[in-house]
Amino acid sequence: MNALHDINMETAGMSTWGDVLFVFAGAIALVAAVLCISMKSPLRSAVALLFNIVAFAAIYLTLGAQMLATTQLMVYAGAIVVLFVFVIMLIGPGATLNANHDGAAARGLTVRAVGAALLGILFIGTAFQLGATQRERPRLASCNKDIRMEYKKASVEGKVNKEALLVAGHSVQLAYASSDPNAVVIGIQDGTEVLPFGTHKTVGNEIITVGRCGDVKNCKDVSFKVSFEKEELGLSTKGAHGGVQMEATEEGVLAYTQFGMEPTLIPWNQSKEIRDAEGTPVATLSVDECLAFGSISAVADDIFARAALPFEMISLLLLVGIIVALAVARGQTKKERDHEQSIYATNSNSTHGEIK
Amino acid sequence: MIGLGSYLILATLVFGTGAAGFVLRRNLLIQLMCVELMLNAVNMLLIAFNRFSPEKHTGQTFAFFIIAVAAAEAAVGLSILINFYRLKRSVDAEEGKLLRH
Repeated sequence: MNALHDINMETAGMSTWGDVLFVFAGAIALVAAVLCISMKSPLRSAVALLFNIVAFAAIYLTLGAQMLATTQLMVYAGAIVVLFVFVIMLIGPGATLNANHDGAAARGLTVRAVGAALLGILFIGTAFQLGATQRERPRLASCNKDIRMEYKKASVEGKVNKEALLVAGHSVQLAYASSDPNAVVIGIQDGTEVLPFGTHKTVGNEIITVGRCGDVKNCKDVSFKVSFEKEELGLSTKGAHGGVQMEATEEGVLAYTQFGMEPTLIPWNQSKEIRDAEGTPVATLSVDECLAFGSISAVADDIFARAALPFEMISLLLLVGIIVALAVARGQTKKERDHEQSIYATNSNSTHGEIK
Repeated sequence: MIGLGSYLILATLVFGTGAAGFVLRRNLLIQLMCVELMLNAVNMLLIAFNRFSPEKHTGQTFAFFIIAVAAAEAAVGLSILINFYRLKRSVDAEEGKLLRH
């Protein structure tokens, strides 16, 4: 198990250091939020908002969302707060409302505060209720773990599509190409069954999917693949040799090269040579661990693969937002036009038009 | 033990703070900041829920999109604010009562 995996396990179990960071960052976030809404000067509010955002990024780290913590810092702290400060500076002294007026606006404050407190109590009660029924320990992220098997014998390569062999643990004991090029024969406990590509079959609590190589990452050498959606581990191999059976465990993958022989353990993210009964190397077996939860590649995988259309739509929305912002900000009011004309007419100094 | 409940409480409090600020303050700039506070709280909720059911990164993907939308919202909101200021010479939300009554 690598270091990243360890950290992941720790945050999943809410380690002590994660607790400390959460309490610390949560306190900062809350205090900064209160300061943000209570400061008279918007510039101070903006700085409080900045603190709030940085504290939230720290909280995202305790939730195993490294990519979003980075995005939070880049977009919120790097762009939005800067935009706020820019506008405050652009507006100048007019950005701060005078105290009397703000006080007048806070009429009925007591009523609102009591209402807000009641709402807050309601929400907190709900939150406690939900918190009490939560699962104690979250499950690990599941993904398909690929086992790639690269055979050394060139003669095998040409036959891959016809005779590729898929062996997986749990309910699927055996899988191999059938005479129909669009189907795979799967051996389950009840016997063998022909499963066409792209179809699902439920065996017990597993969903077995048969996919072509194009659907599966990292499988340039695998002609098809059986994956498990409910179980955490999916295995795939290729090659014409039968009799290689594999089972995934926490430490790695157990490969049974011959029936009745001791299995070879291949640790995750490593590869090993597989030899046949005569001792000649037949294949190199490499085992890939699934991507860590919340890592940049894992989230990007989800965003760009599963959510590609929303991503494009959001990009369009951003574009439209920029155009609208430009259009709105460029519009000239009648007052300003008149003002400009009056400046031209009287040829007076432009400071005349400044705000008092 | 920090669990999902703690995150829910924190998000609720920050969201409540943002909502209260939005209602109580009359400065448009600060009202916009309150919107950001509320969006942030919702983002944290999504990420926290995702952490406690981590089959896929659905919550994180949503949070990512919300961050993008928040950026667009801030840009449009601030440009409206600048225009409003040029029109009224004030950032007081009370000034924007043209369509009232």
